[in-house]
Formats: sequence, structure tokens, C-alpha cells
Amino acid sequence: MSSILVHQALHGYNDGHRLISSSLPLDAIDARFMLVMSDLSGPGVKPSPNGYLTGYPLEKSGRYVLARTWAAPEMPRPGCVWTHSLIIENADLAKITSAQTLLGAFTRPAGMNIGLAYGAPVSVSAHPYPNGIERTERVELLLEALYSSPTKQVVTEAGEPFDDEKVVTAIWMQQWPRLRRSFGFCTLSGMDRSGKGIALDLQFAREKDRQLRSKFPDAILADRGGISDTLQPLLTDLAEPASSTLREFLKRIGGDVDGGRRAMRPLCELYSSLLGSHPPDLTSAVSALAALNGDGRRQARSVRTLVARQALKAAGQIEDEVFEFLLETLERSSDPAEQAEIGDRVGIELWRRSPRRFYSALVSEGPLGGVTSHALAEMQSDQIVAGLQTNGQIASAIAERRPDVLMHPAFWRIPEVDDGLAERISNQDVGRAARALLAAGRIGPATAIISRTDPVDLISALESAEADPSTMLQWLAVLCRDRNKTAAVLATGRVTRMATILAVARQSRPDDVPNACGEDPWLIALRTATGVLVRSDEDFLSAFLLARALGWESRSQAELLRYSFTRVYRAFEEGGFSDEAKSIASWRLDWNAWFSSDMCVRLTETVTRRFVEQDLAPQSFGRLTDDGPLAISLIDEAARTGRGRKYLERVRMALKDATEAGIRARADYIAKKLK
Amino acid sequence: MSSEIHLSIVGLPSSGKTTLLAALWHMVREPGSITALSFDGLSHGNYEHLNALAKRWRSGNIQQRTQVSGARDVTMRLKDAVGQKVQVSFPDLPGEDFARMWERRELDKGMLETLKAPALVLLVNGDTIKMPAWVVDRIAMSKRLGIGVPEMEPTEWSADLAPTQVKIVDLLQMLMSGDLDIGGRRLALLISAWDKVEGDGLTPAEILESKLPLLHQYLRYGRDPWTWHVWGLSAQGGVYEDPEKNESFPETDKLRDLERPSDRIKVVDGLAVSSDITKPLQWLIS
Repeated sequence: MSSILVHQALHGYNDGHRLISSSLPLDAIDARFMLVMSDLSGPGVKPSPNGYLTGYPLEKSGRYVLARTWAAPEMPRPGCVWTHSLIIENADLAKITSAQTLLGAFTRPAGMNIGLAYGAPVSVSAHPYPNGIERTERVELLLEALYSSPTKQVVTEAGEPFDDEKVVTAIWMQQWPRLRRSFGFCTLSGMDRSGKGIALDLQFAREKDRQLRSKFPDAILADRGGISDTLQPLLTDLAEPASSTLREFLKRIGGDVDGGRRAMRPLCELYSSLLGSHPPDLTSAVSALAALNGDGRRQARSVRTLVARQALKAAGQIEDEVFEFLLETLERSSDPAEQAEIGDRVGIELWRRSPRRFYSALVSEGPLGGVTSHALAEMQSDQIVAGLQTNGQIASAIAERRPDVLMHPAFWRIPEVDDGLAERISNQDVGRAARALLAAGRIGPATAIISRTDPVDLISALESAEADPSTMLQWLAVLCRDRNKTAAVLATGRVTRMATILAVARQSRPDDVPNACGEDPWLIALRTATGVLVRSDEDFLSAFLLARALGWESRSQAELLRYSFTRVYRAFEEGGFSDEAKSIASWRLDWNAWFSSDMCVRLTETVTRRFVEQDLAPQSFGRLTDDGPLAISLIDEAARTGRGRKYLERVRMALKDATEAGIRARADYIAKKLK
Repeated sequence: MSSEIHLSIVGLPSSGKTTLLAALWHMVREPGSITALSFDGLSHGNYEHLNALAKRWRSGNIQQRTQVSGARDVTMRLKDAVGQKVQVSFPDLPGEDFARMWERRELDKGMLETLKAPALVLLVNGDTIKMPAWVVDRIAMSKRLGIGVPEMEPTEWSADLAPTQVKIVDLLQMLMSGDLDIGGRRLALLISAWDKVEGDGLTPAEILESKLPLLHQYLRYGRDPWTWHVWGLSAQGGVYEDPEKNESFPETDKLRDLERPSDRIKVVDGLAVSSDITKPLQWLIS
């Protein structure tokens, strides 16, 4: 069992109450305090034969005094006393778990060698086993008064001196060291001693209720109500300290807690919240920590960290108060490791709970700014966009830091998001962004985006399943204003829908799309596009492509004529053209010598003449239509001129070895025709 | 028209300050007593303390020493023979505070106002005056007795070895210096326990001159601007009992048998003797 050295002093009467002997030189202020506190505790006070106890701090020198005062009737004047004071270093006081060893060290002066007896420190054992005390109503009243009115002095009617000492020292020893060393008490007070000495937390007086109130006007009486639930752990611990973990908890947590008695209630609440329920009641714990705050905002660091770790385990489910606590802990933390540990989860959770608050933290300085910045970098973009749905005001600012959100259709559906933000899209992302914009129904950025988007990406975006159909049409209208881009898009070989080709056709004129080299972009597009158009649309597209083929822009006239001829012919024949389509289809048809108004005749003559005169691919002419009689009429038309017959000879040569019997029959027919 | 006068009672421990208060409070309120100053009625204040003191005094019980932390403000409303009313206030201070002033050169802030009073009552217990012990006198006496000069170990200095007058003179000088210096003041010097001193057959002034020569010289030659007068005072009138020790003395019984408790009081001014304890106060406030 370890022991500690305790200094001592003796005060008594020698031409006035004074210090008689001391084992250590006392500072003037401490000496004055001790002089006052060692004197009789009030006029008319009559100590019992065993005296009374006074405990008080010497704050200036960091020591605590536990003193016993006896009446000294042997002295010449009434009211003289002996007081033996044990002066304990605060560090040593923390080691003591029971006051029993201290109480055993008191000695009433006797004989002549007073100076010798009190002139040297005494050794007391530090770790005796703490004794329990009975759970009485008196103890409850005292605990309630002390810790529910923490700024008031508490006074109570004195009982049997030995019992009072037992109770007060048990309460004192239960406290964590920091409170213990500031806790003042006196087991027999005859007056309010706060005037000249030290305000005592707890005083016992012989007076009854009314006298107590008049003698201790600034104190509260420990005589009201029972003990509150919050303080119940104190009672349990006082009764059976050996089987309680409360003292150890108080000792560990109280080390960095200010506020004296004020902290006891919150600490008890913390104890119950963290150790008395499974899982820990974090909401109560946080509320207790808030109550601890008082003047010292950095208190109870160890328990804060403990609560924070518990809260982090379930960051997504914790109450708002607990989450606020996490934020506060983070903001006040100066430990980078702690910041990192808490920050990773807190940042993302903060976004989930309040994107606006997240943003405020983001633009602020301090730990939370760093945490949110890190969280923003780590979060999934769809999580960010989800948070922005109802916080459009910060959408642009967030997008600056996370430009990948610009690739989300949902982002562009946020009303507050400005079209101008599209300018911040990087070149490498512009294709994906186009897809998002189309899906979101955004038209404003179309011009800028189309000009910057790779044609393959653009057609992919335009034809994506998510794209809003009406937006797509408007984008195509914009596209068509850029002829080269339109050509590039059509020439990608990635156009998959006939509807797209039709839409482009409807927004263009037949010669708009340039074809300076290679195959006609329209033709390329037609090869890959699928889908069924309604008859009228099919007729329109055929008329459009016929007009293009008969113009001078396309380098794939034969193929375009082959695509359009039969459809246009049938449309003329059946009179199914709309006025618009008919107008386009007839636009470039030649007038024959008889100025025939038969559009079928004019079509046949014009197409045949274009093949012959421009010497277009004979193979194409031979296969211009699947319709046999129509093919014969084309051959007949060509055979009308010498130039035509020469051209037909090349057609025959191109068809004679065809695998299809029908085509070979056409070659035979040409051969007969040319004989 | 009434006025408030601030008096202070100063004196070393056991000089009789509390007894003076007890006797004064009793006498100004005793029916039929004729005093220079008499009680004029209660003013705002707590008289519990004064009543307790007076009760002990009347019953012949020795006053409990005033605790170090026990200073009490005391206020009395008095009037003189022509009806002039005064309110006199003075605190009941423990003698240890004055001893500490001298021993440790410390002044409690709470005492500052008290000690700046323009009129002071200074009590010196005539029965416990600690005379200077001159080394030369001691050697001369030893030689005369033929026992030679004794070999003596040096004694460590201690405050309680200092002569009474050394403490008193220094205390008065302190009251006339630094923050406490308010210019000229009146000082009523009361040599208490006069019943123990009067057997010497000297007047109070002669006691002062013979037993406290340093104090006498200090006051007489006016180093500091004190206006002073000396009285002999027996506020108890004899031996009082300590009830805690179950004491019982016939002399005390005799005192209790006096028709009027105020007859125990003796105030000596030169050769004149009276029981009017208010006379020094009247002189102070005149």
C-alpha cells in the first residue's frame, strides 16, 4: 500500500489565535486563510469532544487542508480552539480513495512539546478501501442540494458528529480529484464563514430551520424533495463503492472538466447514458455534454471523443442533436488524426442532412471546411446531385468543385441551374454532358455543346434512350444550322434511327449538307439507320433524297436515286404525296419535250437522263428498282437515244453475271433492246 | 438634526473591546441611568449581536473572544444632554487583526474603512501590559544579587515577546501613514481592567507615563497629529466567570448583587471617577 507525505499545522491561542507550529512555510495569503478557517467556526459554537472537521482548498498554493478543531477550555479565554490541519498536495489528494487514513492522522495537542509534534510532515496510506455509507434520506437531500444548486452554499442541520463526518467525507471522496480539491465543508458552523474566509460548499449547523435561514442567508437548506433520477448513480456508488464503476468514470472524465459541482449532474447523466444503457443513449449523452459546457467549451475531451466514436458508428441513424455534436466536436478538434477519423463520415452525412450547411462549411475556414472539401471530393456524383435537388441555389457553386455532376440529367433538371454552366464542361466530358442535357430537356446550351461535341458522341447523345424527344428535335434544328457538323454527324455511320434522318431532313434543304469528298453523308446514315417510318414520312424522305440526288452536292447520286426512285414513283403514281413532299420531289424533274404533266413520266425521264448523261454507275441503274416493269420502262427510256443505248450496253455488262435471275433477265432484255 | 459619526475601537487581543461594547450597549439602554450620551431609539440594524454581548456582561460571564472571522458592524443611535442626536457606528473587530497589522505588516482591505475613522477608541489592557525587558537592567540586577551574568542562549524572535507599547505605538503610527493617513484625529485612550490597576494609586495619565513611557512620549510630543485623552476603564468591574469551565466566584456574585449592573463600571478621568462609560465617546464626538 503506497503512502503519501502530508504537511501539518497547528493553530491555537497564544495572545490571540495564531499559528503555533507548522511543518511547512506558508504563503501569506494561505496563512491568512488558514488562520481564519482554523479559528472557531462562529460565536457560541461548542464543538463536541472529538471536535469538528473543516475541509477547504488553498488555491494559490495548490494544496488542500483537512482540519480538525477542538475546543480549548484550558486556555484563558472562552472561544479558544486548537486546530490541527493536514495540508495535502493536490496531486496527493487525487490518490486518496478514503478519508479514513487522514482522519486517523489527527492529534489533539497535549503536553508541552507542541512544536515538535507538529513540525514535521506525517505519512498516511493512500489506498485504503473506500467504505460505503447507508442510503438515507439525509444523504439524498445533501446530494440533491449540492449538485442541483451547484453555485449555492448548502447548509443542513447537524446530526450526530460521527455520522456527519462519515457522510461528508464519503461525499467528498466520491468526487473526482479536481472537484475534490475545491470542495469546502465544515461539520459544525456557527455562522456564514464566506465573509472573510473561503466559501464552503457544505456546512452543518446546530440551528433549526428558521435560525439556519437567518444565519446563512446566502445558503440553501438541504431539506427539500428527494434525489432526482440523474443523481441516483451517486447514491448507489456511496452505498457500495466496491461494486460501482462511477468513481473511476468520474476520475477519468472529471480530469478535464471545469465547473466544480455544476459538472456532477451532467457527468452522472453521461455515466448513465454511456454505461447504463445498451446501446448507449447518445442523445442523452450529448445533452449532458452540452450541460457541461458552461464557460469551458473544451471540456471533457476524452468523453467527447468516446461519444463521437459511438455516434460515428451509426452516423446515418443518429438524432440531429447527436449529429450537431459531431460537427461541434469536429470544429473544435485540433487533432488532425481525430479530424480525419470523424471527418470522413461526418462530411458525407452532413451533405445528406443539409447540403446548404455543408456548403457553408465548405467555404468556411477551419476543420469543417477541410472535412467538407474532402467529403465533396469523395462523394458519388449522383449523391451530390440528389442533395442539390432541393438546394438549387448552391448547385452552380458545387458544380464548380465537382464538374462531373454536369454529366447527370438530374442536375440539369434543377430549375436554378443556369444554362451558362454548360460552358464550364470540359471538352472531354462534353459528349456525356450533351446526353444529360438532352435527357433533362435543356435546349439553351445546345448551340455551344453541339459545336464542341465529337459527331459520334453527339449522335449517340441525340439518339440515346433517355433523350427527351422534343428536346432532341430542337437540338437537331440547332445542329442543322451547322451544315458541316450535320454532314459530320450523318457521316459517322452511327445514325441508328430512320426517325433521326427524317428529322434532319425536315430541318434542312436537300443541298445543305456538303459532300466535298467520299460518300454522301445521307447515304452513310441511311445504311445504318433502322426503323419504320409512316408512309407520309417515308415519302417525304424519299422526295428529299431524290431532290438531293438530282442536285450537284451529292457524290452518291446513283445510290440516293436507287433509294428514292421507286418510292417517289409510287407516290406520284398513287397521288399519295403531301404538297410539301410533292413540291420537293418535283423540284428538279426535267420538263420533257411535250411538257407532260405526268410526274411518273417526268421522273423516269429525268432519272434516266441523269444516269446516262452523267454516266452514273450502270450497276445502280440496272438495280434502280425492284419493280420489273418499272425497270423495263427505264431501259426503254434510255434506249431512246444513241448515248442512252451505249450506256445501256454498260448496264448490260454490269448485270449479266448477276446471281439473281431477275437481274440477269434485265441484262437479256437490254441485249434484245440493243439488237 | 442628527448626524452620523464613525468611530473605531482598536486594541490588541484581550484588551476589552467587546466588553466595552457590551457595557456601553447595556448602559445607554438601562432605565434610569444618567449618561452623557443616551439611547435614542433603534435604527436599522441587527442588534442580536449587541444584545448577546450585553446579556453575557449582565450575567457576569466573560465575553467569548471575537473570532478571527467575526467582525460585526455595530450601530447605535444616541443623543446628548441637549437632545443632539448622533448615530455612532463601529465594528467589533477581533484583536488578532491589529496584532497581525503589527506582526505581518498586513492590512485587510475590509479594515481600511474602519481604520480611517476620524475618532478612535484605543484600549490597552492595564493588567497585561508586557513591559520591556532591558538586558542592562537584567545584568545589573544579577550583579546586585551576586549571581553573576548568566550565559544565555539567543532566543529566536517572536511577535509575542514584543512589549505592548511597541505594538501600540507602531499601530498608531500606521494609522497616521499611507492610505490610513487622513490628517488629525481624536484618540480616546482607555486603560482597561482598571480595577486591577487602580491599586497602584496612580491616575490613568500616570499609568501611561510610568508603564507605557514610549506611548506616552509618542503622544505627548505630537510626532503625529493626535488629539488625545486618557481614561481608566473598568467595564467588567471585577472577575467574570467562564461558564464553559463551570467557574463560580464570590466576587462575581457580588457584582451581580449590585442594584444596577451599570454600577460595575468605573470610568476614571484624572482623579474623577464615574460610571458613565459614554464620557470618552462624548469627548470623541464633541
